[in-house]
Amino acid sequence: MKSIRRVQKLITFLLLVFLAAFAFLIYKLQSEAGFYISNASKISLGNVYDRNGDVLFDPDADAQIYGNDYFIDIGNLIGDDSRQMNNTLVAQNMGMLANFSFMLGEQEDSQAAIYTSLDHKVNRKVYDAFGSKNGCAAAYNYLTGEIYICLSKPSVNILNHYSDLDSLESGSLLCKVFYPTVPGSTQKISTTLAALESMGYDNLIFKSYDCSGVYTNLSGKDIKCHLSEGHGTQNISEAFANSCNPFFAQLVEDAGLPLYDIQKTYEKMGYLVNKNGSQKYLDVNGISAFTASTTLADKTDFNTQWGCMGQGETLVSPLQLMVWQSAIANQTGIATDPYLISYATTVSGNPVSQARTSYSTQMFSETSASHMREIMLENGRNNYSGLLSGTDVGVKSGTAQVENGEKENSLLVGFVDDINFPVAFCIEIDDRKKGEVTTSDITRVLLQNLYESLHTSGE
Amino acid sequence: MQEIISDFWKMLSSFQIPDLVLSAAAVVILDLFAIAIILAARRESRLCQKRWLKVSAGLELRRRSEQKEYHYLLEADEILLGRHSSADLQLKDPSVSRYHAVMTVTGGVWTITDLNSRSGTFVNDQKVKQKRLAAGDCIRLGSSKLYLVRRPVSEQDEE
Amino acid sequence: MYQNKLSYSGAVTLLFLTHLSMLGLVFIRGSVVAPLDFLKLTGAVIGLDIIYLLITLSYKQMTYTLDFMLLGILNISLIFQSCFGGIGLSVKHLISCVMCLAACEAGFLLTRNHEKIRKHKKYIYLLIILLFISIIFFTDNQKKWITLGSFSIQPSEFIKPCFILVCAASIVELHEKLKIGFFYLSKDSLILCIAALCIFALQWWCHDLGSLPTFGMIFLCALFCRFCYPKAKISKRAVAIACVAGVGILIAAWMFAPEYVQKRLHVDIWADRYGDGYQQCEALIGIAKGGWLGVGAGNGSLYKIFAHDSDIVFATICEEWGLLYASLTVLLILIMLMTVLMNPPKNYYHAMMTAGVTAAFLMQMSLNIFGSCNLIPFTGVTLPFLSTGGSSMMSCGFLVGMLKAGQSPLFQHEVMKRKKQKQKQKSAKSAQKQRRANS
Repeated sequence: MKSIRRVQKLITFLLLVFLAAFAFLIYKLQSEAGFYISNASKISLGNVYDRNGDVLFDPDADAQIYGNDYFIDIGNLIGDDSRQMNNTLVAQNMGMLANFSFMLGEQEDSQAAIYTSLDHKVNRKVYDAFGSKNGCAAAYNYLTGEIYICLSKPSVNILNHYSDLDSLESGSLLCKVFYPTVPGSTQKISTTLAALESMGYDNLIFKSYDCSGVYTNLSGKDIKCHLSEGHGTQNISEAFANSCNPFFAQLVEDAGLPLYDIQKTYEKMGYLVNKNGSQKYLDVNGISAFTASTTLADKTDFNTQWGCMGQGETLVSPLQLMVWQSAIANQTGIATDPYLISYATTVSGNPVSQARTSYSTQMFSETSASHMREIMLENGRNNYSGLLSGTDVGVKSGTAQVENGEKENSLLVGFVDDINFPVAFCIEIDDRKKGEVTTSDITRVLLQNLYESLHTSGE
Repeated sequence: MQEIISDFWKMLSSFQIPDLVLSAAAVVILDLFAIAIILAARRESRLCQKRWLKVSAGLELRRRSEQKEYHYLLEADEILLGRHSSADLQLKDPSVSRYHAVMTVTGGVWTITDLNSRSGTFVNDQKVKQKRLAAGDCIRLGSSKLYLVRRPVSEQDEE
Repeated sequence: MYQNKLSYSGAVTLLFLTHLSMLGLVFIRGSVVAPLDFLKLTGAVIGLDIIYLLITLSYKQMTYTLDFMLLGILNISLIFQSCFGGIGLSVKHLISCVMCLAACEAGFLLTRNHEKIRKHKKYIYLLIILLFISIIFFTDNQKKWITLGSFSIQPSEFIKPCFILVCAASIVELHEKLKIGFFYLSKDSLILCIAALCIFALQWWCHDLGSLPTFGMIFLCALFCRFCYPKAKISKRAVAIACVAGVGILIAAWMFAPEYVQKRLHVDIWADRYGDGYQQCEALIGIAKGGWLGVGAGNGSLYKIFAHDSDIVFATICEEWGLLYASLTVLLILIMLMTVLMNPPKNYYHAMMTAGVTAAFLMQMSLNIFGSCNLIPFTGVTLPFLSTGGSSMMSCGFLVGMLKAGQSPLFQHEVMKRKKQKQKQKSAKSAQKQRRANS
């Protein structure tokens, strides 16, 4: 009797467990169906559009409709459904783009589409401004997080369907904005922020060091300045504008700035320091972007000091450089997370996945952010006037030696000080030589065209 | 939610009508079949219960304590009486052994067998090792008394 | 109408309607190319329905619901299997279904009298030993199949019902106990433990780890019932120790499992899309393509995948018939197991048996369905009733027969009564003859 009842309880229990698991399975299948279908060998996809309705991806695109190099500037960012590139918008969001829903099955007259925040026309102009040079550029709204510009040259023309794979330059299939690069002197923003955090602005502004062109550090190694005759005695603001290496070497060696404090600020900003833990990545609608990494061994060590000036083992992605600008420009110390997808529509045309602005954790204090902003704006006013007429732009330039100093990449990061045009940007030119197009030239093209585009289409 | 409803409408309108009606009909009929089977199983269980009453002679055990009268249905062909919590019929009485006696049924006749209990098993005040039981017998285990009586016939059983 | 004086006209009508509605779906939504093939299928399904229902009329038993359910599920399965990759009667599956029904009857007749089968349990032990020997000596390289002409038999499937019977027997007979070391053991539980160990070892040796969890589950249920059985006399401490030991063994098995098992346990199917994860990926994509209502019988694409009709059959059905219909079919199997709750058995032997059967079915269904949908590691076990395979169908039929026996048992005294009646008739006849001879 009792044991028979117990057996019945056992059977009931087993049945209930199975039913619960089965219900979970149905829920899972139903909600993940888009992902499954995106892995099918043959699927029909919708289009990707930019902010003005220009087509960025069309599964049936051909050169006769769009023109031969219509997609060239966004080839390695938006990608396509061929699975040749994995870290692209289409590859990562194929489930959203599929002309499929679990209830309706595959649909012929589907309205599935992704609407991005990019501005394709300006993007193209910036791409062309690179001329014969390679590099990458990114710009986004530091208040909302919309990415307006994102390009990487060399790029791939998806209309060729990879028939020219062998003749493509290396790196064509990767959007360099999301991959690590040597930051050069733009790293001095991070180091200055660390100093601001540790010492406070009032102490830092009274520190002044001498530069005579070459500085021999405490471990006996020479740190050269790019100006061989030296900058003389400078404070932080001047040294930042001059991008003076001896100044920053001495700042790192200063007893008032413990190495531990630098490390702490770096880690808050997203650096992986001394391979201590796992590398962090930013997620931009499924595209994963490198953050930053560096090695800090000892205050007096040549490599550590060199790392604080953006050489040595320091690596940062252009996207991260741009995102830090938002924390400075907003004077909050909190970065705005970038995104590409404004919204998507389902098979039946209902808007879903509306973008929402999200923010990072506190990277540095608000006061550090606003002092940093002042220093950068001053640099912009004094040395980079005319980037955008009538508006102040805070900037920091950088020259990064790569491939053992054989090549020099040129970088420029900054933000526009205008509440109606809140744009942060990062430009990088590979292997720039004297007399060729400068980062300022490209920034000018970018900002002026973007300003016009946003202010005409918006009204 | 709205999304689901609008998708659902689109699904309804996108199907050809015979397809949809048939799919729905097949699902509904499968459901009805399942329900019909459950109903049939319920009726069968009543029938089996009736048959069991015949096999077990329609008897039940009764025990009186100070406040209440307990009824124990005999719903298995082997029933263990004792103090242990796993016994089919648990008597919380220190004078009852943990496994005191077992009752079995064949062909409508219940038999009680003592399981070497300390205080012994008594039927109608007679110590027994094994004995056939009849309706109205009084079984005493230690100081607990049980009465084997005919189960009152309810209306449901008469059906 | 039937011999238990209940009317089943509603259930029988709905049974026919279920099959007719499915056939209608095949005809209208499916890809019927040759009408003759479709007619053959219709004939087979309806014919099987009618013949089996007529046969059951001649049986005297308390319950018929399980018969109807089994018939319903088997014909649904026959329609499913006949539509994979084009419509045409699957004769092989039809034969399997008939064998399944026969096995169900056999299981019912063999186990309905619990006293008799308890008395003859020696034969079950002998049968298990025979199956063991056949696996060790007569199977092919994979240690799974015995090939006899054009048929192949999977002996390990038949161990399942035998093992459940051994479990039930060992639990009921706990009278004699031997003291071995610190433990009191009865002869039968000792046999049970040895049998379980042998089966586990054999499966480990055969690399047939798919059915290991099924046997494990049956054994666990048996142990649970054993602990809770009135005469078990097991302290809570012993239960706790057993639980800890069990968990320990599981962890150890997990840690020290051989490489081919480890590989199975840690497969990220989407990363290995065209390697080890191929079947599961295709299965999931197929389910997604099917959606709620499916793409129509015979229109699916999963039939090209290996084991589409056995290991990932759930996905194949989902693709063609839709998740809704496939899950309802699974629900139907669950309802079949649920009838035990509505009509409980009246003796311990049958109770233990039903627990074992439920455990076996549920475990196998979980392994198949959740495995093919990537919730748990993928093991190549069959889905009861819906997968092809004569051996698996027969053992499933036998198990359902055991369920039926629990609900419609035959008591020993009834057998005796009948014998007496026969003897009486005989003696009356012989007396008549004598009288005639005398006169």
